[in-house]
Amino acid sequence: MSSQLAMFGKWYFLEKPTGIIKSYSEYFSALFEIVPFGYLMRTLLSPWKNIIDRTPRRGINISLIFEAFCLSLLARGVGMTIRIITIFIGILLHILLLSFSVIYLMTWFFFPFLTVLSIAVLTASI
Amino acid sequence: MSLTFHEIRQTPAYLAVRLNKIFFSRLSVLLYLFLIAPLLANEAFRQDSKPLALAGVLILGWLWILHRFIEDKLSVPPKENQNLSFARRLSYHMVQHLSAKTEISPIALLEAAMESDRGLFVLHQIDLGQEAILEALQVSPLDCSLETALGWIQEAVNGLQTERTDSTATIYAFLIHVPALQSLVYKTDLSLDDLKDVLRAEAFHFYLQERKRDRLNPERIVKTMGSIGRSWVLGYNTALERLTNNISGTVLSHERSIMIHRDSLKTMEEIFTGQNTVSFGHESGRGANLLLLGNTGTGKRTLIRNLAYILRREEISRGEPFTNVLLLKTALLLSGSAQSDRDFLKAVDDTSEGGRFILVIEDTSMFLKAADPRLKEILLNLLQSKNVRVAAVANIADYHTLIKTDPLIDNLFKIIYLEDSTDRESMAVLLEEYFGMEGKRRLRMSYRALKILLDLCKQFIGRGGLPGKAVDVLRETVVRLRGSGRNTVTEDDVRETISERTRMDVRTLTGRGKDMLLSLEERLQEHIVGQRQAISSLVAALKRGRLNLQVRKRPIGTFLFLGQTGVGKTETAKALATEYFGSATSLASDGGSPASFIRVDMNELSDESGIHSLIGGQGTSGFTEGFLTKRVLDRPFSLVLFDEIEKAHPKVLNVLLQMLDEGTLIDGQGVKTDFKNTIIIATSNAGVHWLKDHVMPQKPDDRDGYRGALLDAIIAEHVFSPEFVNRFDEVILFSPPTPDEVRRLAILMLDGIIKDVRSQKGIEITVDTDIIDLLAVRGFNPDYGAREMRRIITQTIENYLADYLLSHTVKRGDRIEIKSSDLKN
Repeated sequence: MSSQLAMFGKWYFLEKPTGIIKSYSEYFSALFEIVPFGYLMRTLLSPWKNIIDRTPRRGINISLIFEAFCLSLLARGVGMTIRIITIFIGILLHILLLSFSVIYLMTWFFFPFLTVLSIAVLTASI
Repeated sequence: MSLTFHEIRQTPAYLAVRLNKIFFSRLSVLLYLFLIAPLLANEAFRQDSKPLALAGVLILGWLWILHRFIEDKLSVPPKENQNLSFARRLSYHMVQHLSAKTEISPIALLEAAMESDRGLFVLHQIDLGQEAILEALQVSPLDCSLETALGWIQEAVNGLQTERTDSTATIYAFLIHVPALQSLVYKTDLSLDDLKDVLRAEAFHFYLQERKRDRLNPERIVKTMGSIGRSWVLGYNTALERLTNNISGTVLSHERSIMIHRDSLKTMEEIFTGQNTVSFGHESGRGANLLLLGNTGTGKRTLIRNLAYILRREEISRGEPFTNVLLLKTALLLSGSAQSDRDFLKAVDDTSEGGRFILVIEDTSMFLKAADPRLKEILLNLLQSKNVRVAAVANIADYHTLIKTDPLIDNLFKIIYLEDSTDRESMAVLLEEYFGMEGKRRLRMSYRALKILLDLCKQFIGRGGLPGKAVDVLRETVVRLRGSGRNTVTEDDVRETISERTRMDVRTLTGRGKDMLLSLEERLQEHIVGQRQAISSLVAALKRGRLNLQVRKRPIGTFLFLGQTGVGKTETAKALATEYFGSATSLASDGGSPASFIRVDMNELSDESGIHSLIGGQGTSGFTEGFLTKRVLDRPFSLVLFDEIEKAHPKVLNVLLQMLDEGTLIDGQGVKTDFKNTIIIATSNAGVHWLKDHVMPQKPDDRDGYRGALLDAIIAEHVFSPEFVNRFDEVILFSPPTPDEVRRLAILMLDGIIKDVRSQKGIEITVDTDIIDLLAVRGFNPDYGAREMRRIITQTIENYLADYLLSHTVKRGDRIEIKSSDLKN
């Protein structure tokens, strides 16, 4: 019996918390893959969906160049806006994930003590 | 090695069993409800329910913690397995069932294994029931010691490389070591290798089940969600969007567990990532185009999707920019305006700067079939474009006829040839398909039924490749089952499906099949007059052939019919086709040929071009399929008659030798036609002069010598070579009919006419016996055989009847009597 309690204790206070941390790191990597900050930053100013107008190679046509410039500006603006929003959402999700993991870990650690405390409170109230 | 109750009780798995029983069994749930109910009732009347809530949270919390402890720690096998006791290495289920036994004995081990879910699954797969096993062990009880049994199980675990000593390894150990159980396995027609395959299949099934449960696995989430933002830099070009389907986008959301043709997949990956630098006749590396060849059903499209999957997975893990695999909507491209292809090429050029593309052309032949130079140009432009890599798909026939004949296009491709998948691969694909269906439709199918399905597909379905045709048959069988209300797919269902597909009877040799063979001789005699010896030899050879259905690599039977003209050689062949293969598509009442009868008149193949009409060849309008190969591909179960084979050109005969020897013919398109389910009969008049001079002996024993002498004479005349004659299973002599047989033939033919007139006009005809004698005398000619009989009957009887019907009013139900005096000579 004592060996089994020892096994439980070891699992509860050592192995499972390690597992929770490992789990967090896996979800962290997964989230990082789903919202790739580096890639989004690198391509922050790329035109959205590569929507651009090509200017003719020969000759100079001011109106066409101006049109292309406007479209480029618009496309890059749209792209930047959407990417920034996505990065923002990504950061938010990371915060949520971290918070959740910390709460989970803390709750796990302190649950036995919470139990003892609660039993004391309950018996006192009765 | 030992195993005792004490040791078992010391294991963590046992603790898990006890804890589960106490806290998580159905009884305990009832107990919880029983305890909570009065409290709930009480609390409902009190204001303050916080203590109850708190108590509830605590209890649930600890129950959940306990559950996790059991799942994560106690039920899982220990990491270092080597120095642990046997008991420690047992799986949870083994411990669960063993602890309920009264003693630890070999039979207890086996029983415990058979009671677990996984054990039951294995037994069901091999069509063995627990009762059958226990019964067998009652008849011949286990006489091994516990230690021996433990040794067997350990050996099995090591051999199967399982992590723990589980029920499947235990069952396997007993099945292979206990003679009584071994014979049970053999009775189910499975070998020990098959048994191993079943266990492997079960392990895979178990793995799939586990994986399904783990939905929140981070890897799975990434697979489902993909990576946001990477496609935002790629061109949003309407021409490209319109004319292609981007399969890379969604490819990761489908689980791809079984991937066959892994070598080809690897080569393809290397070609497209530029790693494959072996030159294939033109510059390799950049701008490489791939041509994937194979029969329909070998998995070419699946391979492309697997490639897209692997590329995307690799790119995610390495953080590289994506390659998009685009499926070209060929019909749309080619049916568009003259501009559309130019637009497409421009679109491709434009967008190539924004990412890499692999253009997949699934129906390459569409570009070339119409022989339109404009279409060909489009294809060429695509292939020659440096920015686009093309993966084209085509079947073998189209390749030989359309692509290979055009060196310009042919040289732009690296070719990967996809063979039929191996048996192992096909079984794995079938199993995956089955597991998919099993869950959704609550289907059950034994491993053996799947194996038989695969074997029968290989044997009887000529067209198409594996694993495609096997999967088709599986799906078809399941669909047919739905109407019947059953949910177990048996071997008989599979055979029914294949019989329907091939329009042939492939049911087991029980009942109808056996009777057919046994009565074949009598039924043939009903069609043919005389020729007892010939028919007897024929049927004997066929009986031998039919029973060796599984191992045969040649046609069912190959026969050379010798004898003069008009003695019934062709008639016998027709009768055999009807009786052996069935007259499934109807026979006309005058003796038209059944669909399983293929007659090749060798007179028409007396020059070299005859080869082309047999197996196909290049004509002016492209490739024409050979008449023989086409018919046998469509209907693998046929009787092929080569009439007057001595008239064929020697080169044609050479082609036929290949067929007689190997049971296959490869036609001009590179397609292999299987003759393994055909009966080949060649007829010949060779040696007819010798036959005239030498009377056929009556005794069967003397006939062998007679036949030998005849063959010597034929060979001496250089009509056939000895090698040619030796290729046939049997040389069958047809003797000229005796006078009695001629008489019977006359009666048979007259009967035919009488029946026809009766059924068509309702008129009864009687014929004098004198007429029969007359016909018997005049109807047989030594040179023309029984053909003379037909001619005489037409001249006399049919003419008379025609005149009579025209000159008299004859109603239904009337009688006409024909006397010999009525007939004009």
